[in-house]
Formats: sequence, C-alpha cells, structure tokens
Amino acid sequence: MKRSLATSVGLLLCLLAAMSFSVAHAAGVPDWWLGSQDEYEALVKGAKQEGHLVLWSHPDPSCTPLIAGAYEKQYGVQVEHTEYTTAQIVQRILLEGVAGMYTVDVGNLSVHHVPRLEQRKLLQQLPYRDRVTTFKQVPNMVSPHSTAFVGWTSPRGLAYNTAKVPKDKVPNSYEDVLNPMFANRKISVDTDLKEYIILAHQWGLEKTKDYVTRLGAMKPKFHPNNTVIAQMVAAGEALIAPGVIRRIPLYEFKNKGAPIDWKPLRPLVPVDTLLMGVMAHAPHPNAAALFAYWAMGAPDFLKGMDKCGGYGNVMVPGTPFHDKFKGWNLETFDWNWGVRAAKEGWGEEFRKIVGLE
Amino acid sequence: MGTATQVEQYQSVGGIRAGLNQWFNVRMFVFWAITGLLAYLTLGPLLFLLFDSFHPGWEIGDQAAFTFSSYIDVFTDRHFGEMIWNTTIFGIGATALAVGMGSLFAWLVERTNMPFRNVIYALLFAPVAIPGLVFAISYILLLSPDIGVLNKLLMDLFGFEEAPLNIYTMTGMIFVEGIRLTPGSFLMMAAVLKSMDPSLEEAAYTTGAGIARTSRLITAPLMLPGILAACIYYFITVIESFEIPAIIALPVGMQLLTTKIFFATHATTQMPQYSVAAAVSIIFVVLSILLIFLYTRATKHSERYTTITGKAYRPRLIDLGRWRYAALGGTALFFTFSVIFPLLVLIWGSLLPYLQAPSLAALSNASLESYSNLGRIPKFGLALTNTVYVTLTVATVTMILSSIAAWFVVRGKIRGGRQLDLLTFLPHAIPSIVVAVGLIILYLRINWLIPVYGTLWIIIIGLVTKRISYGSRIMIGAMFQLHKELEEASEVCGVGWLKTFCLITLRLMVPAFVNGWLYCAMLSIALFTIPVMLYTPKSLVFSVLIWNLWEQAKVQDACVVGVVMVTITFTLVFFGQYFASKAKVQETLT
Amino acid sequence: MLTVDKLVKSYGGNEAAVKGISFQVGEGEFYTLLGPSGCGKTTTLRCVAGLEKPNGGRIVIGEETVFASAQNILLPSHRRDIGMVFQSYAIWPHMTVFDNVAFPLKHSKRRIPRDQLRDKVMKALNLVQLDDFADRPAPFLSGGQQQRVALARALVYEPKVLLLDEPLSNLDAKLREEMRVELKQLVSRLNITTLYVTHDQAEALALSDRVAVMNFGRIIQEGTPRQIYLEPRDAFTANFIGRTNIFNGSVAVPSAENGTGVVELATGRIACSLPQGLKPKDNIQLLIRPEGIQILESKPETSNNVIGGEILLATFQGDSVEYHIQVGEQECRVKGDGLTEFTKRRRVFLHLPPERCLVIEKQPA
Repeated sequence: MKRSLATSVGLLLCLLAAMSFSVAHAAGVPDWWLGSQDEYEALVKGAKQEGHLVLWSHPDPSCTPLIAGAYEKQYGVQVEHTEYTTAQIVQRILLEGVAGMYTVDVGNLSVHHVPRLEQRKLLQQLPYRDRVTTFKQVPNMVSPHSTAFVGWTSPRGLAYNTAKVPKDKVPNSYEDVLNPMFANRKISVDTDLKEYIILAHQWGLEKTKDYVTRLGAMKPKFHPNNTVIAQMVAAGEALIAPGVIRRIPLYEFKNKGAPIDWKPLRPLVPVDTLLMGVMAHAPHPNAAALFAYWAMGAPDFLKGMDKCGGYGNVMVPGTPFHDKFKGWNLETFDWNWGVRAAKEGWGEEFRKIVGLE
Repeated sequence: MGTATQVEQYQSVGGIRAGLNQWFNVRMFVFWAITGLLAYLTLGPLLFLLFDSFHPGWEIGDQAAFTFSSYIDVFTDRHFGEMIWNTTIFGIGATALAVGMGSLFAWLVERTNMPFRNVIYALLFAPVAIPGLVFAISYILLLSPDIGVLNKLLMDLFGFEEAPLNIYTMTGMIFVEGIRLTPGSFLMMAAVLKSMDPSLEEAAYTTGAGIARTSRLITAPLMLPGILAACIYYFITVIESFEIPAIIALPVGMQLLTTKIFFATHATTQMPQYSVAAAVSIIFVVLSILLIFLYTRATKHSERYTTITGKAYRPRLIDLGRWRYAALGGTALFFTFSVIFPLLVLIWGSLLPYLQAPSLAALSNASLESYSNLGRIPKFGLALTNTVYVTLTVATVTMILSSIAAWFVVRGKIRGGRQLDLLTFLPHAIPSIVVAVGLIILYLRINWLIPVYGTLWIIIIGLVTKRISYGSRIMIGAMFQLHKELEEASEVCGVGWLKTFCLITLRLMVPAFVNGWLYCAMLSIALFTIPVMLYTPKSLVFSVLIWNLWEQAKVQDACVVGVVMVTITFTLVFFGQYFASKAKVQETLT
Repeated sequence: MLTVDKLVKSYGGNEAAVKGISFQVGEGEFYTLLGPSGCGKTTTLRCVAGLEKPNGGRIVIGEETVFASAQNILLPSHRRDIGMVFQSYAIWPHMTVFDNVAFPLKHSKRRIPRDQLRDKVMKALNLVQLDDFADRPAPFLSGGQQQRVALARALVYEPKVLLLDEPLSNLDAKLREEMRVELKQLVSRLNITTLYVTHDQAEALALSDRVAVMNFGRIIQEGTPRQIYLEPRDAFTANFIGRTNIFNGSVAVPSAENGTGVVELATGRIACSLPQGLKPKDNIQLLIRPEGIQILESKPETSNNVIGGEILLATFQGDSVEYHIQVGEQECRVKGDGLTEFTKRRRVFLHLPPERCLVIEKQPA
C-alpha cells in the first residue's frame, strides 16, 4: 500500500511537472529561454509597449535586414537600425554619455573598449548566462561582468590576386607570406594592423613583434581600409594581402568576378570578435534586453547569419561557422587580451616597427 | 550754439557712447552680428581644440589634468623632422602648382581669345565633386609603377624596362594634389581678373610693352592681393588635406603632419586621441595666423588695387595669334589629366562590378545595369533630398556671410574690420575631424538651447564653418577691386549702408558671388569627414552614403552615387553660369 | 548755408591732413577749395560729405549740425542733405542712365510716389541735356556724358549743398571748357550752394564766387577770384594762381602814410606800395604778373619803375606773345600783345607799373 501511494504521488508529480512544462510551452516561452515565464512575458510586454529598438551595428546591409527583420516579425517591435563602424559606435556612446544624452539601445562593441564603457557605467549588466541556452552552453561568450557578449566573429585571411599569383606560390602559412617574391610593395597591409594584434593574443607579443619586423622589411604597401586593399589586390597593384576580412570586402569582390580569392592562413587564423551589448541608459530597456537575449538564443538569428554567409559565430556549436572554422583560436578566447592590448599599446608598437609611426 | 532742428546723438564709430536719442546704426549692428556669428562658428571648435590639446581624453570624459603630453608626443615623434619637411615641401609644391595653373587658366579664359573658353570654364568644375578617394585611386590606375596605364603606354612606346613614372613619390603627390586644387584656385583668380579694369593694361600696351611684359609688370602686381590670398589659402588647404596622402603617402610610409593626425585618430586598440590631433592642429592655426598677418601687412593699402570704377570697362581680349592653339592644346592636356581621367574612372567604376585597370577585356564586362534601379541603394532617395537641401543652404549661407565679412575686411571702416579676416580664415586651418568633434561636444552640451545634434543642421553648421574661408577669399579678392566711390555715391544720395550693400556692392559682385556659390556647393557635396562624424539615419547625405557603400565594398554603387553627385554639380554649374551671365554688367561698345 | 569751423582731420599718427580750417558758404554761393594735390581740399570736402570722420571742429549744413566733436555729433552721409559728384563720376555700371538718376529718389528716405518719380528724373536729365539718353545703359556713355549723369543724380533731389570733387579733371581740354560754362550756368540757374574742389586755378577763377587757396592743410588766402588773382598775399598764392615773376630786392625807402615806398632791385628802383613796418635794407620780394609788365622798345623819358633786359625767347601764342627775358641774373616772363613781336637777343626795357606790383617780405624758402 505504501509503495503504491509513493508511486502514485511520484506519477502525479511527474504529471504535474509535465503539465506545467507543456503549459509553459503552450504559453509561448521559447526553448532557449532559461528564465521564468513571468520574466519573459514581462519583457515581451515591455518591449511591445516601447515599440522601438535603436540598434547600431557594423556595416553589413544584407545581413541586418534578416536579423532586424526577424526580430520585428517575432515581437512586433520596430527596429531603427544604423550602420556605423565599431570605433564610431564606441565613440558616440562615450561622447553622448558625457553629455548625458542616450540615444542607442544596443550596439556593436570592440573588445578593447569594454572596460572603459563598464567603468563609465554605460553598459547594462544582464544575467545572460542564466537566461539563454547558448550562453549557458558557451559561458565564455559573455564578458566577465556580463555586460556584453560575442555577437559574431570574422576570420581574417589572405587575399590574393588569382591572375597574377601562380597557384603553387599562393601562401599557405604566415611564413609563406614572407616569400621574397612578395617583397617590395607587393603586399598590401592595413594601417591598423588588426590581425597581428589578434595573433599576438595567441602567439605572444615577442613572436608577433619578430614577425612584424620581418614583414616590415618586405616593404609592404599600407592602405587605410579593407576595401581599398581588396581593390588594390584585384587590380594587381598588390599581389597579396594578409589579414583581410572574409565576407566584406573579399567575397563581395569575388562574387562579382574579380580575380581575387581568400584563404585562411594556417596554423592559426586570427578571428576578430564583434561584441554586442545593451546600454545602461537605453531608451527602450525591455526591447533592448529582449533583443540581446533573442539574438544569441533564437535559431532565427543564428540561421540568418548563416544564410547571408555572414560573420557567423565561431563559438557556438551546431552553427555552420563553428563546424567550418572549428579548432581556431577562439575556443580559448580570453577576455583580457583586448584590455592588455589596449593598455600596452600593441597597435602603436607594431606601427612603430613597420615605420608608420 | 548750433541748434539743429534734429539733434541726433550718434554712436561714434569704433566706440559706444550712450546718448539721449540713440539712433540705430545699421552698419555697426551688422558688424557686431557678423563678428559674433563668425566668432561663434570659429571659436567653438578652436576653443575645444586648445582645451583638448592640454587635456587628453577630455572629450570622452576622462579626467585628465593639464598636461603638455600631447605636444610632447607630437614634437618628440621620431619622424617629426621628416613630417615638417615633407609637409612644407608638399605645401609649397602643390600650392605653386595649383595657384600657378589656376592663374594661367584664369588669364587664358578671361583675357585671351583662346577658343572654347566657355566650355573650359564649365569643365573646370567637374572634378571638384568627385570624391577624393576615387580621385586619388584614379591616379593610381594612371601612374602606378605596377599597373599604371600611362606607364604601360610609355613603356610600350619607348621600350623602357622599368616604369618611368612613379606616383608614390613626393612629386607624384604634389602633382595630384595640385591638379585637384586647380579648379578652386582658377575661380579665385578669375574673380580677380574679371573685375580688373583693362585700361591699366592697355596703357602699358600703348607704350609698346608686349603681352608677356605687361602681364608681368602690370597685371600680376595688380592681382597681388588675389594671388597672395590664394597662395595662403591653398598652402593651408594642402598641408591639412588627407585624401590624397592617404592613397599616395601612406602606402609607402611617407610621413606628414596629416598622417600623424590620421594615426592618432585611428588607433586599433585605443580610443581616438583627439588631443594629439589637436596639438598638430595648433601648429596649423599658428601658421595661419602668421600668414594672415603677413598678408594684411602686404595688402595694407587696398586703394592701390582698386580697379572697378564707375567708368566703363571692357576686358580687351589679347590676341594670342598662332599661340591660341598651343594654349588650347596645353589646356586640353591639363584637362585630360585633371578632369577627364578621374571622371572617366568614376564612370568606369560605376559600369563595372569591380574596379579594374582599363582594358578591352574589362570593357566587355561593362554595363549600365547599376543605373537602372537606383532605388535599390538603401536610402538613396533620402540622401538625395538631404544633399540638395544641405548643399543649397550651405552655399547660400556661406556666401552671404562671406560677402558681409569681406566688406568689413576690405573697407575696414570699423576698428576690428581687418581682424575679421583672421576669423574667417582660422576654421580653414583646423582639420575637419577636429571641427566635427568640437561640434559634437558643443551641441551635445547645449542641446537644450539649440537642438541641432543629430539633425541636418549640425552638418550644415560644420560645413559652413569650413567653407567660409573659401567664400571670404573670393569675395575679399573681388571686393578689393570695387572702387569705394561707387558705394559712397550711393550713401551721399541718401541711401543707407544696408541698402547700398545690397543694391550696389553685392550687385556688382555677382559674378564672384556666383562662382563662389557654385564652388562652395560642390565642395560641400564632396566633403565627407564632417558629415560622417555627425550623421544619423535621418541626416544622411551623399558623401556619407558613398563612404558607407565603400566600407561595405559596394564600390560600384559608390561610383554610381558619385556619378549622380557629379551630374548634380554639372547642372548647378550650368544654371549658375547662365544666371551669372544674365547679371553681368554689359560691356561698352566704345 | 554751409559752415565749417576749425575742422581737423588726421590719418593715423601722421601729420594732420586738415589743420583747423574755417569757412562759410552762403546760400547760392559757389565756393571753391583750390590747391595742389595733398593740400587737404579733398579731405575737407569728404568731411563735409560725411565720408571721413574728422577729429575736431564743427560742420553745419543749413540749420543742421552734422558734425561737432565737442558734443560728439556725427551724422552719417546718408542723413546729410547733400549731393556729390565724384572725380570718377561713380556711375553705377549695372543700371541705365534713368535708373542711376532715379536711385536716390527710389531708395533713400526721400522716396516719392511713382508718378512723380519719372517727372523729376526727366527734369534732372533735361537740366544736363541728357533727356534722350534716359534708357541707355551706363557703361555705354562717354566721359562727358557720365559726368552729366553724375550731376543730374546729385541734383535730382534738390539738396541743400552740392559738392563737387574735381569733376572736370578727367575730361579733355575742349570738353572741359565747355562743361565749365555749362556747369556755371546750371548752378547759378538753380541757385544751389556749391562747394567745389580743384587744383586747376583757371577753373577756380572762372567758376567761383569765392575761392579759398589751400596748402598743407590750411587756408592760405580767401577771396573773390579777382582778389585772389590781383592781390595775392604771399608768394605761394601768387605763384599758384596764374603766373608771377618774383624779383628779389630790399627796401630802399619804407612806406609813407599813403603806403608807397621804394624798393631796390638788382637792376633798378621800383616805386610802389609797401607793407607797413618794413625798415630800410629789409629783404623783400616783388611780385608782378607777366601781363602786368610793359615792354618798351626804347628807354622812356622818365626812368621810373623801369628795368632793362634781354629777350631770350619769344613764343607766339595766338592772342599774345610770351617772352622770357633776362633781367640781371634773373629770368622773368612777360606777356606782350600778339601783333608786336620782339626778336631774340633784342635789348628791351620793362616798365613795372606801381599798381601792378606787389611787395611782400621775403619768405624763407
């Protein structure tokens, strides 16, 4: 008798649990949401009331409609989306913050500037890891103070002119780049030397400095932005360009028939991270928080990124990018390297080595 | 006791004395209004510049104590000597080229019987609206040692083993920058020449002096204020410009003061260091003040240069004889380089999916497809309306302010009139990026009073601030040559200052005004540093659109928008010329 | 109608251009400021016009004090009831003749209704005989025509005072003479108070009711043309107006009560009026105009006021002959009648009538 009672109670409990679970589902709380139903509903209600989201993101016009559009469709919140470079975004946030003006909800950020924004209390702390399955799965995606997360990542690789560089001479590794045939203004390098700053994170500063010195001795040509670099390579003004971002500009050009192609340099491909964060004084806090959670949680966002061949997120398992570029340095992403790089002035150091400063 | 029926206490000029019945002095009021306005426009960015150079990071809220560290950074930069040297050479070289060519063309178009003068006049405006980046890249396509079309041609023709022309040199940079600035300097010098009374030159001819001698001994000295003004203006323009050095100097690591600014404000891991940029800008500002001071001394006696009198004048055209065609040939050659080629490259870029060196194979890829659906370029329509609005407003406001300021500078009747000259010129010395940040900070803080932040108006303010220096150069140069008696005659007739200014002064300055208006309009379309830093989705303009498209590697679309921009400016020029010719004072029959 | 009182004007730290000038012009009077360039006449005129700001003094036009440094009154040009003709005429090239003349009536405070405007303008043009030129664009005018337009423009609104700044100096000689006559007739017909500035003494003598001779910022002498010409008070005035011979000498017999005395020249003694207060042996200068000296072929019986000389040069001028004659160490000019001619190297005798002689104390150089 006692045993049957226990079993019935246990079964009843299981039934209740199952019922509450299905009730929760029936109420529309998504799979990726780890928080309570009430909280989710409050967020959605708040977002709908606010009706607006101001999003500042890195330029990529074909991906953004997919992302913003999906969010709009899902929650009925109008997204006002502007494209600025990350540097511009951070600067505007800081400048406006000084004056007490807050116009943006969610923005792309660079890993180097998160501490400063946190210091100014401009970023909103949100319990990302406890609310979204993806973050729980990959806790390293979220910054130590839970103020920002890795939105997407962009690998940087070698651009080369397919017409002028013989197939067998196309570099496969960073050492190959230093082939004397590319000496004397045949390599195009971005003036911000970003990829070397990322590489230094894994190679160590000394090894990177050594490499940059040797690169400098090759007398490369310096250009102020990626598009100019891609143009120069496509036109044949430079033969190769290490450290070019994959999708934009490279594939833009390639898909239009330019004699240019991209390949990752082994063994270690610098992958740049594009963070996303919610502002502390966001004019539409609910819409903002909801977007931040949804972006990494919802399959729509991740699928969207894949569909537009976009940046993808190397860190998130189960996404095509992760599988494609698996094993690259971002598995062991260290949030502090960005801070170190800024504090120690790696960028300026490298520029000095190659004679730019 | 002189009992006048109406005793009017009058504000004595140059001082303010309270009187019993004070009558409003329009001229004084306008003077103080314009001084106030210009001071506001100029000193805002300037003060920011000064303050920020001593307080690094102040603009983003860093609490920094007063420090010379930014200046130390600049002056102890290991390339400092090289920067100064390169900047000076670049400045002098490009200025000499631009002002020299500009004066030559002005003389050819205004004073000689070279054929097709009007066409040339209109064509000269074309390259102004071409985005600087595209302009520079087109020269890479022309003169690069590796892929330059001209080099290839010369190598084929003469069998050189190595490319004879290398654009990545100081000479190359001077050449491109000088050519780029020639249209503007042409306009300045043309405005001066247009107003000159040729009887002074004719007097020389009757003594038997030839064209060369007369031009050298009579025309040139009379143009002195204009030439000096142009030289100073362009020297500062050149040393402050970055678009050409970005493509020519940067790749080969040539150091200039502007590349220093670029690196300071485009750090990868750091925030932009505006204080360093500000410290470099101070060098430009001090230099400008010095140059203006010298200029004021040199042109102290404005009466000496007066040449528009009430007497009839008809610019007599110098007959070049057989040299006409040589002149035309030289001009055509120049135009091929400075106008046709960059324009072609721009059009070329809009027809091809990606920019390639010109070749027959490339030609097969070309198509007009990209023009067929302009609507697909996001925000094209909005950018179009905004650009038209901004351009018209900036040009008009700039020229009106410039004309008023020019009057006070040239006539100098009020103490401080000549100092106004400095005020109109200073913004020119401050790099656009510093102006932009200064504006952001100012208008963020006074947003409750003047809510222009984030709207088109802050962009308009920024552009006007930068353009006033050009407008005032043109109007000052032209106004030197308006005889003051023409204005005095109106005043003694009983017509007050303001009406005289509008009905007589401005009316007689119309050709210069229109030219200045056109050039300001075109330049403001092309300027992008200020709009890029200040824009929001609602206040998007073409130059920003092009820049954004470029960043997205949509080069073809960027070129398409560029072509639309150039078309708009051509239309403006066409109508402007038409209007100016209608307003032109008729020439005498005698 | 016009009063100028102790007017002072200086530019910057330099010496004053106008050093305390006073004069009065009565209603309808034609008053000329005459002097060499740089004497301050144009500056004075421009001060009256309000185009320059004087440093001291007082100017009254009609009943209105337009400038008084003591009370800090300074009326701007456009509030003064004046008309001005500039040396360059300052005709606005972008308007027709009609528009030029109509401008003051259209745009100043003297605005008048449209129908009256046309009448007034045509009347003014009629005054200067340019009725047919009303619609001609200004640059299409000759110099003389422009000058008339300038005049019409200055007169169309009937100002209290008309100011003219060397208006005839840009015309050729023939035109100048014609315009001189026309101007005189016009001005006297209108009975308008006129202040005229010129460096041409013939013009000043022909046009003016009174002339003020200026030099170095001061009025040297003021008077009617006749007075100025015939009774110059010093060498400068005498030399500037017409031509004068200057003989150096000393007092032989000081002037008696009737004013006459005798002076000793190098080549003879001359009896004439002497200024009071001179003592024997005082150095003097004797001034006499070329037309005042009579040339005599032979020595007259009475050798009073006669000196001898030799003809150096004889220039036939149509209505007269001008002689350069060596008298002692000096050269003098004499005007003889056109019919007689004395040839070069001829010895002649010059009679200096006492009434034509003017003696002044020798002025330092």
